[in-house]
Amino acid sequence: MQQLIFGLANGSIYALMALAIGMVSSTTGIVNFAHASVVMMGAMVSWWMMVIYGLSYLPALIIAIVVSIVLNIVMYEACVKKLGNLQHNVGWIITLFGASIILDNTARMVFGTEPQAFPYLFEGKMVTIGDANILLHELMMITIAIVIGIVYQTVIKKTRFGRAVRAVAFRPSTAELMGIKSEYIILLCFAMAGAVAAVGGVLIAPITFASYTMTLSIGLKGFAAAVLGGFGNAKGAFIGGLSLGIIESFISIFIPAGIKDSISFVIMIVVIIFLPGGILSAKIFNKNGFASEKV
Amino acid sequence: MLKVENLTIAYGKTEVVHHVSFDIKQGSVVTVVGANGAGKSTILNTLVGLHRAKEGTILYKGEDITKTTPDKLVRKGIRLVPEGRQIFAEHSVEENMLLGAYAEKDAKKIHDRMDEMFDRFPILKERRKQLGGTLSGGEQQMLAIARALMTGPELLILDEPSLGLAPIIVADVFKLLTEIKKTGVTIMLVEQMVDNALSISDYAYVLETGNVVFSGTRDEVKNSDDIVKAYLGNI
Amino acid sequence: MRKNKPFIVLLTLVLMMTLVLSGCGGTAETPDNDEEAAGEVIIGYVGPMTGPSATMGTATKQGAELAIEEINALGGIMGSTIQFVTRDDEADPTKSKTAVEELIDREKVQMMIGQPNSTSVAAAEDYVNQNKIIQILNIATNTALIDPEKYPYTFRTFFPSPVQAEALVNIAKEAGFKNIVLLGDTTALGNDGIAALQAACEAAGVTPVEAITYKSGDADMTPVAEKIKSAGTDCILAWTLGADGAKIVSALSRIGYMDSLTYLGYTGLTLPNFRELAGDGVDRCFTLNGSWSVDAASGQVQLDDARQALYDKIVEKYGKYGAGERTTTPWMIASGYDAIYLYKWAVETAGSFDADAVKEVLETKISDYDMKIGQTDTYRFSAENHEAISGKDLLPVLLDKMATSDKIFGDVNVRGTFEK
Repeated sequence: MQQLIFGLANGSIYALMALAIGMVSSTTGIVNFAHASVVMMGAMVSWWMMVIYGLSYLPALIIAIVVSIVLNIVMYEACVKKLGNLQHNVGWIITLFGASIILDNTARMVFGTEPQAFPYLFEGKMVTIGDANILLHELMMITIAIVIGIVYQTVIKKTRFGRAVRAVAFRPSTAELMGIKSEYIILLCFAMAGAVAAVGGVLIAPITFASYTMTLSIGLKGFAAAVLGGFGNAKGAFIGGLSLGIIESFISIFIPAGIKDSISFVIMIVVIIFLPGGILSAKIFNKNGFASEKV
Repeated sequence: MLKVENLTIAYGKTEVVHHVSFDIKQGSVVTVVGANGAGKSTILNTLVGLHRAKEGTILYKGEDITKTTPDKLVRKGIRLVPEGRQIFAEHSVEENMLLGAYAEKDAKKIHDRMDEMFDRFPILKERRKQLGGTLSGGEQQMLAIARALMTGPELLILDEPSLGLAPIIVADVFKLLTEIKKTGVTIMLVEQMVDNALSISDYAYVLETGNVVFSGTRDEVKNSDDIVKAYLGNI
Repeated sequence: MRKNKPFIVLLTLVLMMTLVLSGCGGTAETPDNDEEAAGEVIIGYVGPMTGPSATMGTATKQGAELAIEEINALGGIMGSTIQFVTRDDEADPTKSKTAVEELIDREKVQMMIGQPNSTSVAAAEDYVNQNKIIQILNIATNTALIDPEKYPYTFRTFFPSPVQAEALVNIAKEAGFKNIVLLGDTTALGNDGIAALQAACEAAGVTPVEAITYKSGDADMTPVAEKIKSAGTDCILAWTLGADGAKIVSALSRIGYMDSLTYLGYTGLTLPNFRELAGDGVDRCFTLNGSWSVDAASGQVQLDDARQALYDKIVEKYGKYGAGERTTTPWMIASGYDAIYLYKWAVETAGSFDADAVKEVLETKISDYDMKIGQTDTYRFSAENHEAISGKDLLPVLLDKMATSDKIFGDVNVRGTFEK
């Protein structure tokens, strides 16, 4: 039980990261390597607001969301948009890695190198279920992540904006022929990813502590979750993130700490090889498959 | 309605269209004929703003639209039905049509147009919940045209509407274009099936390696031996 | 757009480099004369002034500068004014080696304070000793750095890993703990720490129940806590870094086991906000310290006179933690201060700047050195031993309380006693 909740809580953060990485990658085809750094920035900014300016949780979170949105927009304008065709110009690999280094260094300069304590939601209140002590914070992590996932999925499936996002994901030039400003949709996706990053950062910070290196290890897991679930798909991101969290949580009891991450990545490599589109691309999920473009 | 002057288009340093001029009169159907690689699709993409002209001007109802972006041109009433149709494969038929109406904010108008399209294309109504990718080629072409008509365009541009379709369906497509013409929509057409295209056209331009080599009314084209030999061999 | 491609990539790279390098300038102080002027002694220091370990690098520099200012004001060492040359190595061993070579070849330094980072010391130590430069290591902890045969001119005034391991094991043994568990991360640091602890256990005749490893930086330390619990541990000897240690302590509290054990860690456990990070379990956490701690149980409220005086001086010059320039504990600054005075004493006792003479004094007459402001009161140098401190000299101190109102943990530690 205890392990299950830990797994789900960590997994929900992986899922949020995978979701945000997917938002960007579905419309642009690129992988935002700087995402983990934005998550960190979200956490650091809200920590700063709470500790230095004495704000309470919610206003601090809102400011962190705004800052992360701005960061992501700047990143899109500076590191992605200028490159033109992202399939031909793979400069984004360098610019986004660069952006992540810049963000990490900035955080180190502004916030210092010491890890900082970050308050739990509900003041760290615990409930005991059976022999497991579960923080309300962890239940909130899972709940908030799932709510974000459901809201995102609903927006994407049911709204005019969601249709436009999927249209841009299909082919930006075709979307433009419909009167959609693809660039604007991509920008909004970056902004949404920024907001989700800040929420994820604030939720994970009490566990990892707030520091400029807080997302070093979970950042990679976010990518792994995105790959497991298949990019740009909320359901996939959650299946990938939660299953990765649970697998990790359970195997870490039985195996030496040194090879725990290797196991996660072995699973990832196996999935990439056998199911390049992620777990959801497996045949059992796609009985009504079709060739996407008929001529 | 549309007046193109001295249009030069390049991909990087390679010029593919050289100083092309033509115009399209309101309510007419104009066909652009030419071999593969003559620059036809490039011109169409430039007209709708997907590609930027290197030189020259494009006037639409007297307004310079050379640098206008595609989404604005849609709002001005210019729509392209792209080559290969480019149906959104993972959107339903209905969603494809709603995307077609993206530039239209008025929910009632969208609703009315949708009904209108479903009247005209009963097959689309039947398949409204099906994903675009599951339609047959002919159905996809109907959907592509319906999608473009969702904003009630004044200038409808079609890039190879017959591509890959069975002859019987091609005939349907051209019949449909004639009907659309009757509603007052100006049509510009790039087509390999020159014979079919000319049969519904008022005017035609012949393009060869980026230059307009001939222009004239349907009859003038048909009477020109050179053109007939070069492009209309299948008459 | 396509034309701009290489330019943008280049620009990004330049921006990245600028950022990485920014703030690195301005640390090199070149003396204005090329030749060594009569009546001058040149002391060199290379250490990280930027980057993650800048706090350590800067602390040593601040301490040394404070000492040199005082000494020069009173006429220098045997009439020679001290000139202090420093270089920033960003904790990069390659840069460190180049900087050390430059200080020796161009600046003609006669004595060096060792780099805080062990790998940096290792990179340049051969060259320092080939050139017969007296080197005092005040922070670096790697065991192999001290070897009187291989590095005859290098001395250490800090507690290295085996010394700490010996102290931890002895403290646990004397307190009578039965189920001792060794804990370390999976990096070289943790492996070396566990190896040192195992060696110390063997020497002391203690048999640990288990050695548990974990991955540094992991978000979830509960599995580690569960393993500790299922081993029935009553004492953890931990080779953990501060943030990881805090996570493990809070995970142990979560599963309700922290009350059943004592957490005894090497000095890597120190972190200014350990209390906030670790939560309530912190009152059962201890680390090691020497004489920069107070015995609150016996009514002591401040350090001994010499150290308290230096403490006040440091706070006056560099401010309280956080507000002023000071970014770390006073004892770390004091170690830089002590290195300069130790050298001054050795030179004056020898009556010469000659490295061999100074070395001999350090090896044979160290019991006469009476500054008593370093980590411990007694330095134990001899011809065979260049380590000042032995495991017997260290005391357990609480990670929770401190004797000063200063925010930073470890400003002045309170010595602890265990309750079981």
